[in-house]
Amino acid sequence: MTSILEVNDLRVYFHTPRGMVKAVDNVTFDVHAGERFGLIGESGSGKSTIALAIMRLIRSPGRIESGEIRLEGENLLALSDEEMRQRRLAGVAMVTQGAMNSLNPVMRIRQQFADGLNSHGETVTVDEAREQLVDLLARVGLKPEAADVYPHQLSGGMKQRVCIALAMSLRPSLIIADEPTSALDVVVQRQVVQTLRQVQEELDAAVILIGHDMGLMAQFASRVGVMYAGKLVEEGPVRAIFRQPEHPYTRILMESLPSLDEKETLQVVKGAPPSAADRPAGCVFHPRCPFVMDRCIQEEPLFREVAPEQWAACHLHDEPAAAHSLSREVAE
Amino acid sequence: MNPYIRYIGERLILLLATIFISMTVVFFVPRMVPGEPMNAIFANMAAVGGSMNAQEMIVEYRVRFGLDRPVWVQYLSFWRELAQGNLGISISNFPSEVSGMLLSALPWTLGLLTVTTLISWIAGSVIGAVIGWRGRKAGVARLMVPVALVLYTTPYYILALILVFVFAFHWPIFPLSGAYSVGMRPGLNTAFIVDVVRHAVLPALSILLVSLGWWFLSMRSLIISLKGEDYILNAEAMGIKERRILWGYAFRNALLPQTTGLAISLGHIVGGALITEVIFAYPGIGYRIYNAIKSLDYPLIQGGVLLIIISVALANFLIDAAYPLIDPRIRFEGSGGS
Repeated sequence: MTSILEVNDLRVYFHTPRGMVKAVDNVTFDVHAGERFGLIGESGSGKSTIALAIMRLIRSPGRIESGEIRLEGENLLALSDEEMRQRRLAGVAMVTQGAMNSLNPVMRIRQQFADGLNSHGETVTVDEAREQLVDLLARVGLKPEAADVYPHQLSGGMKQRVCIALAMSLRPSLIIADEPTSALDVVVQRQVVQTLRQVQEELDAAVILIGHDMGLMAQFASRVGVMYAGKLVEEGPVRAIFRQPEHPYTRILMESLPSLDEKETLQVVKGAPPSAADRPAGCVFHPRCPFVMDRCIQEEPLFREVAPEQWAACHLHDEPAAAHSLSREVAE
Repeated sequence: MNPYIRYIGERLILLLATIFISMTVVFFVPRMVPGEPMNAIFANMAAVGGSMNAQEMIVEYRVRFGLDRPVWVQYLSFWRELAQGNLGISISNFPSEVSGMLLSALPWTLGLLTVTTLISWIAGSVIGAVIGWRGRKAGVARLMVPVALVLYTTPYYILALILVFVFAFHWPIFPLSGAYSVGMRPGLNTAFIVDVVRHAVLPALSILLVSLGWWFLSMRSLIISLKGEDYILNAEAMGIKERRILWGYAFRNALLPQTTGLAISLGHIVGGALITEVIFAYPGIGYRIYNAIKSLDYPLIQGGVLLIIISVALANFLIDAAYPLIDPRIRFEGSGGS
């Protein structure tokens, strides 16, 4: 399988007056062509920052310190601003967070669509542009009339579908959907994710879905990455991660999911994630980890393959006995 | 009923109520000020060499102007005359008609204010948008911010006095006062127009600079706050050209609060222009009202203030009517698509 996106050792730091905040630290992952990749994590874990870094839209005081972001082999971080602007929408598109306000309130949908085309040197007449838009809207399940209205005349779910349609305008090879369902109700959430999935299949684009809803992730993604405090702590096929998590954080996350069959007390991750400005030494998860060892406090674990296609950053995998206890407890 | 017509109807009622209330205030307040308006007439007469039995004449003239009747009778008759379009006769410029005096002054004020307000609003908004958008990248242009802050906090009349001192007195580049040179015959010829423009430069500048500072600061902060909006980020993620995002996305959304600001400040602008006209002895409405107040010329005060209230209320009404055109969210069913 060829990689459409390679993120290598990405670091994004925010230089605030109170010190440096490592929002994304040493993150490495690949997304294959036509794949549905999920990025899970709590608020503030750095998952949206990764999305913005790929789009090169990190705002001051944030900065991409080092690393590589390769889209179809081309390092995006080496491009000029103007070259990068042309890659947006054409190469990589984004469906932003906050469905309610993602569209310009004083412009009709078709005008915003035409702006996207015009900015990428597409010379189309008004009628052609409208025709293209109507076709895109049909793919996300909206009527042609949606092209001619203002955003306030659409519901939240419809607005998010319009955003998905706009992201498809130039048939990008990668679409990043940053919590596209955060402001929507549960029924509409499913519909939007289904739309995204359908679009992904028709377009054969890769999609990165960012979110914290495990249910939606399981429904959508084929592979997921788990973020904690700016680090990618685990990555692998979605089935494996749900069945056999290899990082204690992922494990506790899975156990915190309510289940219909088991009526027992819900497990929660004790404590709160560390502030990104003041991260613990060693493994970032050690203050909350039930399996913490002396080594975890001093030494940062490496991110490596611990099972076929499943990667994790945890010292437990060096201790056969401890690793055994981790997997056994999950199996029970 | 069509909601837009209903909306306009409501604004219209509000406009009439505004005129009624403020005219009532303007009718009563000058009459509570101690002083004898008729003295002005006799001062004029004395100036041309007349000498008469003042006390008897004053009584005579008070009857002529109806000032001997109870105030509420005068009030009712004021509305009755106004309804017939009659603003009365000036006391201090007896026997000129108030309407004629105001009509001859109106073009000067209108010319001065319309031009300066439009220029400062447009220029201030555009410069503010560019500098606000560019932020740190704006470089030296960011010096506009402290300059605008100083200009905006300077009162019109102080700036007017400074301008007169520097550019009319110290370096006599521009004339000291008036709207055109003494001895010039008003007409549509180049010499007269150049003369009028030369006379208008300093008064216009004093109004322009102060309000420009305000429009600049207000638009700049609007743009800075809009930069964080989701739709701006989304437009950037769509790779839309920066210029297009600035004008089509940020600026157009800032235009509504900026227009509201214009509506609110209109009264302030008119009031400021009054003092500017006095300083430059510019023969506009403000100068007329100033003289009318000095000599307690009731009919002229009423007429002049009525004119200002109507124009401010009318401008506000026009801006209200224009909102739906700027912002589709204020549009109504039946007039704004489905």
